[in-house]
Amino acid sequence: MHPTIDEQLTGALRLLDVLETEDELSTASREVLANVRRLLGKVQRSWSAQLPFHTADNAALTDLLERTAPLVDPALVPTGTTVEPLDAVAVATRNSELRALLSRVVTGLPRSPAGDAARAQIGDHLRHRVDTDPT
Amino acid sequence: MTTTVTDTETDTATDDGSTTLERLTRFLATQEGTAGTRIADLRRAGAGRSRENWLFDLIGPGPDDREPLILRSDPDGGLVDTSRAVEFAVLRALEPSPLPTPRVRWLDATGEQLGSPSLLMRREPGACDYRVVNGDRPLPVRRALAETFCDLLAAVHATDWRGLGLAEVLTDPGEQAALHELDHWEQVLRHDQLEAHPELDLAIDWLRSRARPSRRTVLVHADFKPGNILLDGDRVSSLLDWELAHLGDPLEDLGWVTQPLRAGEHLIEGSWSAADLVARYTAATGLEVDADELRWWVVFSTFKTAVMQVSGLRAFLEGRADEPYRPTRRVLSTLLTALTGPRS
Repeated sequence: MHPTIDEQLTGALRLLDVLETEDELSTASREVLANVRRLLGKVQRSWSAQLPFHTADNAALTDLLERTAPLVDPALVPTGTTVEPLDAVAVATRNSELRALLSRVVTGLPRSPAGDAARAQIGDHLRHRVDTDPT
Repeated sequence: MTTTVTDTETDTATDDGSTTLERLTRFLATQEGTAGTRIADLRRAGAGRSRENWLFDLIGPGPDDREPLILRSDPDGGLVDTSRAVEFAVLRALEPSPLPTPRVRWLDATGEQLGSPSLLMRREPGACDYRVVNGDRPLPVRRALAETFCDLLAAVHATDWRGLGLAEVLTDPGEQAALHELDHWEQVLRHDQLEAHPELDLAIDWLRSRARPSRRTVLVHADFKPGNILLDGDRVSSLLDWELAHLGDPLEDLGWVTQPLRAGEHLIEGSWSAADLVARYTAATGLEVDADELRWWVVFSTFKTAVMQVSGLRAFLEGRADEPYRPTRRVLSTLLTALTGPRS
């Protein structure tokens, strides 16, 4: 069990604290350290929430594409691809694939009331995603 | 023609600085007007490795001659890919104008001698402070500075670009300035994106369907902000960073300075609003600003910021930049809110 991922990340951040107390660090080195700290902090805050986020977003995206893609090209409706639900990388990859389909739908939507309704639905989805994305 | 450096003058340079010093010395030795001069006090401008600006003085040939200079080189992985040669030509063309611009001295357009495309310009006195209008000065002084910056923007747009020969350097997009800029930044996005960004595609769709013809063509600075304005006390000594300058719609700069993402740099809560800025700009230029037209450029400015972050992310992942850029929640959320309106 130990060290957990969180413990290892906390440890890495603590070691950066030790390094930062060095008097002889250049300004450039301090800037690099600050960037490493930002990246590690972001990973620490988000790693455990990524899989449930991508799983939920994949379901929402599939539903959204089923409603909006036929306006552009029925081939853009996602097929029933099976993804191992506990494989975080596979689920994230599927999320990228679905987002790529959504981009193609956005790019091809007609200028019509139905097209505008689809744009509004897509806008709502993306706003929710941006608000809840833990990464 | 000799350009020499003494050992004591290299004390402040790092190893990295030694390379720059060596290249600079060789480069200047081949340039007009450097006979009998030497480089002194070379040091990196700014704090980090991502910045490629170097400060130094060129001493001689007379005993009292000392010219403060700045070497501006392309970093390996910047947020934007621009041409030092164009920037040099724009600044050279602007020298007879009343605008406070840095005087350019020499250019290495290809980077053959200085390692990467570079230009050398005279260093003006003062300092840049991107938060100056919300800084420590008393409110009346900050408000006066904000007005001065607005007047400076109006002066940039009043530049006689035809008379100065800028049409030979920059493309005139005519009344299609909005679509011209949108095409350009979409091209940057397509080149640099590593994955799909439906948020940005939605923005492109919105912008493309609402672009309007511009009513006049002016010189656009395209990165107008206090962080690029050199202040000597409370006096503007120079407007810097012309790398994105182009001909286009004046509302492009106005959209850039009034976009919500940059409110903290340009506006003062309770004292200097976007409406105040636009009103003063209109009084100075005579250009009535249509709210919908300006909204288009505000959305475009946010879109452009997001594209810059996409480019920065790629540069970071490819090891060309040390700053871990990414399209941030703040930028994407601001963009989507601008497209779809406030939540009900």
